[in-house]
Amino acid sequence: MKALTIIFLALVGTLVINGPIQSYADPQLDALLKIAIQARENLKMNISQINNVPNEITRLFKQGSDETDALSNAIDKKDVGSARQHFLSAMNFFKTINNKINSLNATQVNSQQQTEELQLQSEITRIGKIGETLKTIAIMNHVSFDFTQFDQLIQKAKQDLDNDNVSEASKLVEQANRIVTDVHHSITVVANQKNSDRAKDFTAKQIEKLDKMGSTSTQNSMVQAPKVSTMAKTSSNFTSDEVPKDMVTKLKKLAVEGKVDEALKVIKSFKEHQK
Amino acid sequence: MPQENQMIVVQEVLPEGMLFVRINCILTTMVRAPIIAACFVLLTLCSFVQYAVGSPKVLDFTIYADGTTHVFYQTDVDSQSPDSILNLYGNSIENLVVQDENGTLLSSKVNQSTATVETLGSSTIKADYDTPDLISKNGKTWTFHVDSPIDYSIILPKNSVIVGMSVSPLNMQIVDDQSLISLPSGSSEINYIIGVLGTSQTATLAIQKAQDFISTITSTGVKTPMALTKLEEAKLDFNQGKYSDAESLAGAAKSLALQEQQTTNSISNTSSNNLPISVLIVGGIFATGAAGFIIMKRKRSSNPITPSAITKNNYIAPDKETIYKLKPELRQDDKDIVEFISEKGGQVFESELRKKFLMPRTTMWRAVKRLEREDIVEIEKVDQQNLIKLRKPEENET
Repeated sequence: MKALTIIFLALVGTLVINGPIQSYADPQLDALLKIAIQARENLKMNISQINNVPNEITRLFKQGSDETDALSNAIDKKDVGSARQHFLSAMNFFKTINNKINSLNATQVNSQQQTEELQLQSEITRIGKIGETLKTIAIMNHVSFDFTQFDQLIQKAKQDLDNDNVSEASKLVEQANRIVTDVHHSITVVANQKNSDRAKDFTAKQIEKLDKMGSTSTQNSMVQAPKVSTMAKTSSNFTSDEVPKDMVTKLKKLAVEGKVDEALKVIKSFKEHQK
Repeated sequence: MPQENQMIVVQEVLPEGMLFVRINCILTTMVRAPIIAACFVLLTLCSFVQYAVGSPKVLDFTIYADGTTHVFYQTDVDSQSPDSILNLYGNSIENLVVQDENGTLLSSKVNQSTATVETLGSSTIKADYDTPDLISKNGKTWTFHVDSPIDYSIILPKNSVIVGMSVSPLNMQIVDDQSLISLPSGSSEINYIIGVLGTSQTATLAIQKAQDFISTITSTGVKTPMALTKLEEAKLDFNQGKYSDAESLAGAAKSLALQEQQTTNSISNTSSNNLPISVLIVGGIFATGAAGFIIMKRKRSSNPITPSAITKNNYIAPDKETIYKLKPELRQDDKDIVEFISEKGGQVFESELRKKFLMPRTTMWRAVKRLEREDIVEIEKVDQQNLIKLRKPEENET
C-alpha cells in the first residue's frame, strides 16, 4: 500500500512540476510552418523579379528552403525542439536574403502613390479606432463631446481614398487627428477634475484603515508584555510596521484642511516604508 | 494484493430489480481516499497558482501600416497605494489614456518612458497609447522590436508577410486578414513587408506592369497575341479574387510579351536590309519631333517653385554633423530627415520630404514638428506650402 501511495504521489508531483512547462513548450507547430512558407513564397516572388540574381541569394534561398522542408518533416514527427530550431534557422536565412534584396533595390514595385494610399488607409483605421475608444471613455465618464464631425470626416476620408483622391483624404485625416487631440485634451481635463474627488475618498478610506490598524496594534501591545515603542514621532520617518498614531492625527488634520496632496504624500511614504 | 480482497460477491437479484455488490476491500479504499483527495487538491491549487501568475497582465501591440504601434497594457496594481509607475514602450507617446477596472479615467503624467498613474484605490489599470518608436524601416522591410517582461501578442498590418523572426511564436492565427501572433516574453524582432505576394494590391501592380509592357511593345508594331491571352487570364483570376494566381499569370504574360518581341526582332533583323530608305527617313523625322516635344513639355513643367529658387537672404545651411553633435539623442529617422534637408541646401518643402521618405502627410508632419520642438528646424509658409529650414547651430543653442 505504501509503495502504491508513493507511486501515486510521485505521479501527481510530476504533473504539478511539468504541467506549466508542457503548456508553454508546446507551440502550435502549424503556425511556424505557415510563417516560414509565407516568407519563402514571398521571397521566391521577389527573387523572380530580379534580372540577374546574385549567386549568394540563390544559395541562401536554397538553404532557407531546405530548412523550411526540414521544419515540415520535424512537424510531421512532432519533434518540437527540432521544429523550433529549423524555423529560426529558416527565418534567419530569409531575413538575410531580404536584406540583400533591399540593398539591390531591385524589387521596388510599390509606387509612391500606392504606398501613400496604403499608409493613409491604415492611418484612417487607426484614428477611427482611437475615436471609438475615446467615445466609449467619454460616455463612461459622462464627458459630453459631439463626435458627429469626427465620424463625418472619417467617412469622407474613406470615400476620398476609394476615389483615389489622396490629397483630400489626407487633409481630412489631419482634421480628424486634430479632433482626436481636442477630445483627448478634454478627457485629460475631466480626469484631473475627477481626480481631486477620488483623492479625497482614497485619503479618507486610508485614514480609516490606518486608524483601525493603529488601534489594533495598541490593543495587542497592551495585552502582551509592554515594550518600548519604536514608532517614529514624525510621519516621514517610520521605524516599525506599526502605524504611528501621530501620523493618523496628521493625516486627519491635512484632510480637514483640504491638503489632500500632502496627505497622499504621507500615505505614499508610509506604503513605501512598509515595502 | 491478496486474492480474497479482490473478490466481489454478487448476490441474487432482488425482487425490486436491485443488484447488490459487496466489495471486500472497502476498508482499504476508504483509508486511501484522503490521500487521493489531497492529491486532487494539490493539482487544483497548482492550476490556481498558474492562473494567478499568468493571468493579470495583458500586453497587445497593434501595428499599423504607417509605422505607428498601438499599445494596450493591462496590469494589476496595489490598491492601497495612491499611485503606480507604468513602464511605457517607446519615448514618443501619443494619445495616452489610462482607465481603471470600472472604466474610470485615471490621471497620468508621462516622463519619457514611464508614466505615473494616480490609481487612488484602483486594483487594475488599462493603458492605451500610440508610439512610433517600436518600428523601423529599411528599404521595403519594416522591423518591429520589443523587449517585454511578459508574453504578448501583436497584430500585423493587413497584406503583410513576415520575412524574419528572432523567436518562435507561441501561436498564430488570422483575424480579419491580419496576422495575430502570440510571442513569449523577452527580446524579439519581427521583420515584415507590406503589400506583398498574393494581395490585391500586388496583383494589380503586376497586371498593370504587364499591361504597360505589352502596350509599349505593341506600339512598336510587335504583335503579342499569346501575352494578351495570358493577361486576360490574369484579369479573370483577379476578378475572381485569385490574387496570387493573377499575379503569377501577369508575370507570365510579361515574359511571353518579351519572348514575342525577341522573336519578332530576330525576324525583322533578317529582313531589315530590305526596308525602304524613305520609311527610315520618315521614322527619323517623327522620332526627332517626338523628342523635341517631350523636351519642350519638360521645360514647361519644370516651372514650379523649388526651395533652391527661393531667395536665400543671408541663409547659410548649417552643417548636419554639428546638429548631430548638439543632439546626440536624435532618432535615426530624424537624422535621415536632417541629412536629406542638409543635402538639399538646408531647406526643403514638406512635400519633398514626403516623397523622399514615402510617408503620409500626418506622419511626416509629426516628424517635422518633433524636429521643430528640438529647435533643429523651423517651418515657414511659402506659396501655401510648408518650407522646412534647418536652424543654425547658434539658434539651436539659444
